[in-house]
Amino acid sequence: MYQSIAEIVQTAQQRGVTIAKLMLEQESTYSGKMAEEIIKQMSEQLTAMSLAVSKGLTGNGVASNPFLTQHQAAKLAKYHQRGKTLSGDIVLTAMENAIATNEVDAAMGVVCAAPTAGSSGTLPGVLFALEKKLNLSRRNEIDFLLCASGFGLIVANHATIAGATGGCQAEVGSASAMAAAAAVEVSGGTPQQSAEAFAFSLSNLLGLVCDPVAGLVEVPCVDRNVVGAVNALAAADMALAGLTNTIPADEVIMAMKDVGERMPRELRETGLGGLAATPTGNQIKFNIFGTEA
Amino acid sequence: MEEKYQSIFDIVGPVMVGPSSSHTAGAAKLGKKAGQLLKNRPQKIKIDYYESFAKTHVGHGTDLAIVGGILGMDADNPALANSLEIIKAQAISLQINELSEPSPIGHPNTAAITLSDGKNKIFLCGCSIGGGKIEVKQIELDGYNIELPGSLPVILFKCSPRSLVKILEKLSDMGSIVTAQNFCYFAERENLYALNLKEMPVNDLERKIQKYCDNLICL
Repeated sequence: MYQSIAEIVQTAQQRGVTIAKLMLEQESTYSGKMAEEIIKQMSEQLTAMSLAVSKGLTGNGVASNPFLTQHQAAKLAKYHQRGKTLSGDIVLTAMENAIATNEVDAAMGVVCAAPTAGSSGTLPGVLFALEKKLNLSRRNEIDFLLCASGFGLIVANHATIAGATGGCQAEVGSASAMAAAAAVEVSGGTPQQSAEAFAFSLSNLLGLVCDPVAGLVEVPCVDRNVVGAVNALAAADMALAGLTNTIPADEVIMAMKDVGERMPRELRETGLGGLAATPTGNQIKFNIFGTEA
Repeated sequence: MEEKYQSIFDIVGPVMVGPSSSHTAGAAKLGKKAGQLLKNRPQKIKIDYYESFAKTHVGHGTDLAIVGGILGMDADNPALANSLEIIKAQAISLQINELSEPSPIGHPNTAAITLSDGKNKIFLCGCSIGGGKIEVKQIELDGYNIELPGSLPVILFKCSPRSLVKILEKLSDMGSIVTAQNFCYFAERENLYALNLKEMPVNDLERKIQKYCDNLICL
């Protein structure tokens, strides 16, 4: 099993193969399954992602039980269709997909965690926005997920992907960095450029706290996935343009772990600090559960 | 190092009912493991929450998920959302406690589940470590406590030390790697054993080792 991003990049460069291929091999060694079987299973994850996006964007979309988040993805899509948007097509599509997925998640619908459910909108946000632009085949999309999961495994094993342990930087931050790295690879960038995109993306979200209003995975989680997706696209473009980081990707992961460990518990998915502890946040909690934060 | 996350599907996955991989999907898995320990459908369910679980279980659907898991549902089963109605209809009692002390197993997402079917009682204390992965740290079966390192899968069974040797041989034949071995004194010439495996053997584990032990449970 690869122990660092540096090791993944070096191996991919030396052998002249994609990171997606390395991950396919690693999974095959771990599980004893043939490559085709792993691809089939990843294809099922892809289908779940795509179904969640469609569900969140069809008609008026979905609403969560306490109605904190509802119909925002569909509203954004209508705005997009009217054509007078500030951001471009790809960015808006990524935003819609991310919101759609997390609205479905908040409504207790079926999503694919990537790496967590709270951050499940970021990867599909980026992936399905690139689908048309890059003419991605289904196999390309599976490779996107394979590449992303390789970076995610390093984060999960060397730092954390749980908001309760490391804050939102561990969830949306990790998802955004994984998406950035995978976006570079499906765009034809080098393994080193994937690592650069990963480092840009995670560095930019260091310190992001997990402060869910009323403890619900809704506010600000749904919109934070927009930031995760858009940040990933920006980071991927920076890396593809040849920009490089001062701090290498593996050290950014160490920094994320360090920041997470110093983060007070009020800001780690307890619903006791940040937006959750604002007067409005407290009022919402009171309205739903009858107790203050 | 011993990696907690081994598979790419720990990262891109699970496919699950929202809203939270740690507080919903992981919780459903903890519930399912507890349900497997009891075997019969419970009459009483008690859930003690610690730390983050204590603060946010309602909002994350953690109650629905743990109870659904106890009823045997998987994390991607949309019926999880109806689990509390199901136990109400079946007159299964549910007690939920939000404890203010730190987690006894040192993790913010900790749940301790006690189930009884009127005759038997089981206890399971575990945590949800992120991305839908769980660890099981303490188990009580038939009044006997067993401490575990956390990682899954675990197989539990009762047998004599002599039979254990046979079982370890069989596991070795199947290519299984035992990563930890714990036991507690159970009765005369019999112990309750818990073996942590690297992964669950695919081929007829139960058939191959059942004759050497009693009450085999694969978590």
